Parts: sequence; C-alpha cells; structure tokens
Amino acid sequence: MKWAHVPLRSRWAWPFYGLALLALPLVFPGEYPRHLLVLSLMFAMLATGLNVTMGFIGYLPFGYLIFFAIGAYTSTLLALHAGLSFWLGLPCAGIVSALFAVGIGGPSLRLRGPYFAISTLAFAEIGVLVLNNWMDLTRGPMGIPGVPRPFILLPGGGTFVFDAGLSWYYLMLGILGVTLLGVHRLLTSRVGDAFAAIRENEDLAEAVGIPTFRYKMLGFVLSAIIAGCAGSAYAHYFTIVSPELAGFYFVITTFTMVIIGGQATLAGPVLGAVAFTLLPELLRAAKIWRMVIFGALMLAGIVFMPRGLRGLAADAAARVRGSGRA
Amino acid sequence: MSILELSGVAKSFGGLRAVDGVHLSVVEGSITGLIGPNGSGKTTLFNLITGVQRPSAGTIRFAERDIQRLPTHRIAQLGLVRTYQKTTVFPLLTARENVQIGTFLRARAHFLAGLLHLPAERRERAALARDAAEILEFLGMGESADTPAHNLPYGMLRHLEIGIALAAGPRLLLLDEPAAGLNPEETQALMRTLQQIRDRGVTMLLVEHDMRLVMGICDRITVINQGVVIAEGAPGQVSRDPDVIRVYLGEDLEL
Amino acid sequence: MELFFQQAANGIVVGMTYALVALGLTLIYGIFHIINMTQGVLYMLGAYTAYVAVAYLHLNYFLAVMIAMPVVGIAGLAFERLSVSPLVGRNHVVFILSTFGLAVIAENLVTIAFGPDPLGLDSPIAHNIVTFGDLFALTEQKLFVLGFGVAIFGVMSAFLKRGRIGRAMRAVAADRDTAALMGIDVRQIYRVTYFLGAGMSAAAGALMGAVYSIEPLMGNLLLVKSFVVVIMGGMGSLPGAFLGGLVLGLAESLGGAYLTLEYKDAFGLVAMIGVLLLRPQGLLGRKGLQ
Repeated sequence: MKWAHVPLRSRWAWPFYGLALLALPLVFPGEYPRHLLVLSLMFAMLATGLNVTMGFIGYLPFGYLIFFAIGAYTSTLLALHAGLSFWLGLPCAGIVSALFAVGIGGPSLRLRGPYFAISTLAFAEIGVLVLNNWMDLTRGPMGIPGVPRPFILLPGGGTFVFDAGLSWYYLMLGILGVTLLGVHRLLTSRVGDAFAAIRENEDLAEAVGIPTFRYKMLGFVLSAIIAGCAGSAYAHYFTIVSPELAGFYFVITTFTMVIIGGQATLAGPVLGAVAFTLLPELLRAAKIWRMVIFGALMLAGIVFMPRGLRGLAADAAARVRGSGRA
Repeated sequence: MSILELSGVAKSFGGLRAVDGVHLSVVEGSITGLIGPNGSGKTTLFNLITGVQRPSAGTIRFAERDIQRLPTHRIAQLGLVRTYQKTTVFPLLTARENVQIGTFLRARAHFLAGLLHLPAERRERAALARDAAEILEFLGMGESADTPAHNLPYGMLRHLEIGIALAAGPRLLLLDEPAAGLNPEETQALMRTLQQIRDRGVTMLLVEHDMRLVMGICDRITVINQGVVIAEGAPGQVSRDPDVIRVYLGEDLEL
Repeated sequence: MELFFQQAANGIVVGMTYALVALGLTLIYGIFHIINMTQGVLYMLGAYTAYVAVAYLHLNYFLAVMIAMPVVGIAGLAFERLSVSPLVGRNHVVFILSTFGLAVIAENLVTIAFGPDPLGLDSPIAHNIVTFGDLFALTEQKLFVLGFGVAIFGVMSAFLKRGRIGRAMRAVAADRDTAALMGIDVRQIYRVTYFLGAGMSAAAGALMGAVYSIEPLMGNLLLVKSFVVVIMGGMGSLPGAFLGGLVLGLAESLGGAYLTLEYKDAFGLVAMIGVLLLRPQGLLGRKGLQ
C-alpha cells in the first residue's frame, strides 16, 4: 500500500543519504554525540517494532515494552551463564520474545481495542513482577551488571571489541537497516495489505476471507522480535539490565516517539526516535521534566497531530507540489 | 442445483427465538430474494449463514459442505461472500485499494514469495490488480479508482462494497439491502448491475425492502416473518399469497 | 487462626480502596465508554490535596478529606477538558493514550513539587486501635475507610436510581444520542460524571493516605488493580465494582499470607486475563450503567 513507503523521493538521492549516514559520527567526534546517535538508533528500532502492531495493524499493545526487557534479559543470561556471544544472543533474544508473544498474543488478540491493550498491560505487569521478584534468576530490582561487549575475531589474530560509540553506531545502523528493510518488504507484500484491511475494517477483512487472527499474531510476533533484538543490543551496549526496561520511562518514551513521529509510516518512528533522543539531551532537561514534556507531547500529539510529524511533512510536501495526495 | 441449503435452522437469543425451523434453498445461477418486515430475522439469517453467529439448531450446507460451524473467513474462502447493510468499506484506502483487498483470497503464491519479491508472485499481484481494475470499470467506477473511499458519494460506496465482494471471486454473493438509501435511478442502475453479475456466473441471495427491485430481478422469493418462513416461490406467486399480503399490508385490505 | 481474620480484615480495607477507585473508573466508562488512565492519578491527587490542607493550611483531617473531593473533582473537569472532550468521536483506543499522557504529566509535576519520597498524612484516628474480640484489630482510620466506602456506594447507587441527574446519567450511558434528543444536556452529564468519578478516587486516596503514606506513584498499581476489578465486575456495574474491589483485596491479602507474598499482585492480573478471555463482559456486567 502506498502509504507505507519511506519518504525518500528519488532513487538518485539514496547514495547521498547513505554516505551522509555513514559519515555522521565522523562529523561529530567525541563520545557523547556518538552515544546519542547510538541511542537514537536503538530507540528507532524499538519504535519501529511498536509501530508494526500499533500503526500498521491498529492494535495498541500497551505491554509492548516487556518484550524489550525479555530480549535484554535473555541475551544477558545467555551471555553470562552459557557464554553465548552477542551474535548468537541477539537472535536468541528475538526467538524467546517471539515465543512469549505467542503466549501473550494468543489470549489477547481475541479481544478488541481497549481490552487488548489492558490484557497486554496485565501480562507485562506480571512480567515486571517476575523480573523484580525472581531474585535467583534476575537479581530483582538491582538488575544484572557486567554484560559483555560484543567482539569479533580478526583473521590476522586478535579481537575487535565493540566498546566505543563509533563501532556501535555502525553496528546499530546495520541492525536497524536490516529491520527496516524486512518491515518494508513485509508491508509492501500481501501481508501489508492484510494489515491495512484489518486496521481499516476488521470485520470486512474477515468477511472477504482474510484470516485476521493469524495476521494479527504475525504482526504482534514481529513487533516482539524487533523489541527483543533491540533489547539484546541495549543490554550489550549499556552492559546492565534491570526491570526498568519495561518501566514507565521507556513506555512513555517509545509511545510518544511513535505518536509524534507518525504512525503507519516507516519513517515516522525513526524521526520520532531521533527527535526525542536528541532534543531532551540538547535541552539538558532533567529526567523528570523530560517525562512531563513527553506526557504533554503525547497528549498534544494525539489531539492535534494524529498523523504525527511524518503526516505534517507529507502535507507540507503536498502543498508545495500542489497535488491532493502525498 | 442447490448451492445453498438451510434445513431447520433456528437461533435463540436468551429467551427470544429470532429464527425458527427455517428451510431455504438457493438454486445456482439464480437471484433469490429474502423479504419480510423489519425484525423478521433476515439479518440474523445472514449472520448465521456467514458464520458471524452459530445456529442453535439446524444445518447450513453450501456447495455440498456443512458450514454452520466454520469461521467467517473460512466460509469466504469456500466462495460465500457477503455485503452489509451499513456501509462497510476500508475508509482511508482508495477505491482501487479497497477492491484489491477483496482479491486477497485468490492469491495463490505463498507470502514468503512476496517478501522476496519473486517474479511469479509479482506477476500474480499484477494479474489480480488488473482484475480489480476490471471490476471497478464494470461497476462504472473507473474514474474514481484513486479516490479515498471516505470521499466517495453514497451511491458509489454501495457499488464499491459489491466490488470488494466480487473481487473475492465468490460463487454465492449475499447482499444485505443493496438498494438502501438509493434513489430510483440509482436503484435501476443497481438492478442492471446485479443482472450482469448473475450473467457472469455469480449466484445471489439478497435481502431487500425495495419491492420494485425484488419483483424485478428475483427468480424466486422467500418471505419470512417473525423468524418463520411463510411463503416461497416465484415473484408472481408470492405477491398473490394471502399470508404475505396480510403480513405486509395488514388484515383488512382487499387486493 | 487469628492470622486469617486479621489478614481478611486488612484485605477488606484495602479492597474498599480498590472498590472506590473502581467505582470512579466504571462510572466514567459507563458514560464515556473510555478507559480512563488518570484514575490512579486522581487517587494520588486526593491524598496530596489532603496533605496540603493538613500540613500547610493546618486544617482538620476530616475537613481535609471533605475538601479534597471537590478540589480534585474540579481538577478532573480540567482533565476531561484536556484529554477527553477534544477526542470525542475518535476510536476508543486514542483515549487510553491521551489520558495516559495526562497521567504522566500530573504524576511528574507532583514529583517535582513534593519530591519522590513518601510523606505522612496525619489523621487523628490513625493510631487508635479497635479490637474485635480475639479475632482481629483495626485502627479507627481503617474502620472509617470501611464505613465511608459503604456510604459512598450507597449514596451513588441511590443517586443513580432516584435523582433526576442519576436517571439522566443512565440514559446517556445507554444511548447518548437518544438522550440528547430527549433534551438531556449531555455535556453537563459528562462534567458531573467526571467530577463524581474524580471525587470518589480522591476520597479513597485521602483516606488511604493516612493509613500508610503518600507518594507520587501511589496511583499506578492501584490503577491496574481497579482495571482488574472493573473488568471482573463488569464495565458500568456499580455493584460489580464494589464487590469486585472487596473480593480482590481479600484475595490478595489471604493469598499473600498463605501462598506467596511477592506475587500477590499477580493474582488479580491472572484472574483478569482469565475473565477477559472467557467472559469479556465481566462476571456481573451488562450494557449501560447499573
């Protein structure tokens, strides 16, 4: 469907965009800006995953962040107890998240609208309770420190460790790129059509033969896989995980990014993630005021900008070109 | 040959018998009408046939298969598709995209082929897109193909609904008050369209209040009142049936 | 054996708080058909308003509770204006997000103003203990919570059944458009409903604040618990909210004592998921407001 396309207009622009992205961290030397860039990319991935279910299928998975936490803990525990490297930990995190998604989605996806949201929230709360109380496994609220940084063995001997912002930037760029490519391919296929139909009119979709439950589950599991992999990356970058990963701060941040960035577009969540990682840092806002601003933005975004920044950009572009549809 | 057979179908909601002991048979290739006063159970029957609800008793056979326990999308996959009384389309998608969603059922290629953009899948998508375009032309909507559905006038929306249903390639089409809200010219156009659909080989069962339409195009009519069938036959027969007249026009009118 | 009765008694007190907040939530759902994520924050604001009244204005505690209700009720009207009215007509899910955003704003503003640490709300009856034979003992404050809760429930039920406004509310809950056609001022009913819903949660907060302590996040877990109650008891059912709250409080308290303390919050969640799957309309609920 047309509205799922990334808004990069002409094919000729791609190489330039690509070069710009690759050169970005070199233009901003210093650990702090690079750290911000890495963070933006991680949030972009997290927000994209949320958008698959929220924006494209139209279901609100309020408990989404639990998959982020599950992925982070899975990767961490596998690394610390089974010696699994990040390169194996990441896909494992995705698989474990997918399994949980099947368990959570099975009951929850039979429910409509707000009931689905609350059901996923309930599951997420149970998950947080487990993370906080199963001390033997998760060390509770203290979290688990000491997650190893990823490394690769070089052909000439020696190892390259991903421990700086620069190397992580390119690593995340690759991971995010693969994610966006996969999501884009999915959305421009029949699966994307089914998603659109379910979002616009689920009863009619069912009536024309679309097995809606199966497709909702597919989208939900995909969201969970993306969140789980993002969690794994987060764990190995920050080297510490805690139940906070499914807590209020991450919930409000991720949801605001998607809502303000623009739901049901590929670029929206990425835009939102970059904007909302960089802006608060630039304003040097204290964490608490950040929450107030995010809450206000979420409220204002929902009320005034249902299509988010991406929608505004599309409208502006349409006005400039004088056509009716962007 | 009878493509749809209802035998002894009944449905109760709590203490209320919405439908009781209904026998209904639709001949393949025909247009069959289902009429009756408001609240007589017509929409309930449609819901039962399309799997939105399960009957409390009785069987529903479509193309030699029992379907009363199947989910809606399965029934659609077997070739039984329905339109709704209230306008039901995909509002933010264009007319073309709406109809293309209808072709979903007919896509044979596995969705993984779609992910990899394999040529066979792309060819099939193009073919289905052409089918969708042809249906739009057939319904006289060629020019509005790229207009978002929520911007279309009411008469066109009703045609769009039929287009979406047709795109699924049904053997039997259930139409729930297709003429509701249409003026006389639009109703005439609808009648012609429905006859053309029948000529394309699609059987139809329609619920309708507009008697000109019903008498004009239906091969057979079943009349239902308070959940029970009270008459069945050719239009001429049914319009002269004293029970039918009494139910529609009241006891003391001489015809 | 005394453990059982003591735990049961405590459980019912906590359950009464759940019931009061759930009452507000279900009332608002019955009329607006939205899920109000600010219900927990309203509870917290009730506690803090009472705190300000007692600690800064040096008012009597009972007066503080009485004041907290209308003050937070008015705040509720502002909430409604910001997060509900502008979105009327949109699909139900957007309200979860808008009210959630507002809740985050309010909670963090309170944290900025008062700090994240727990504060004490002083009540003159918080320390007097009443014993019931050998079975259990409750502070007068807790008894007051019980009595107050029952009173509120009784008043609200009667209000809905008898009063002109109560009947109007039930009409709007059943069918808003028809109610408007019958001459009911739907906007006024909206305001009254939100005011009452907010007031009830605020009362719960002011009362419970004196039992334990108050802190900015106190409403969060309570919000989730009241979802549990409302879904179990049925959306829009006042008796369902009341009984459901008491049952949940009891189950948590007894389960926490005899089964597992750490996971006692999960009981309600698991039960709610079960109810959502088997009987989405709740155990007692029907359409409209009862």
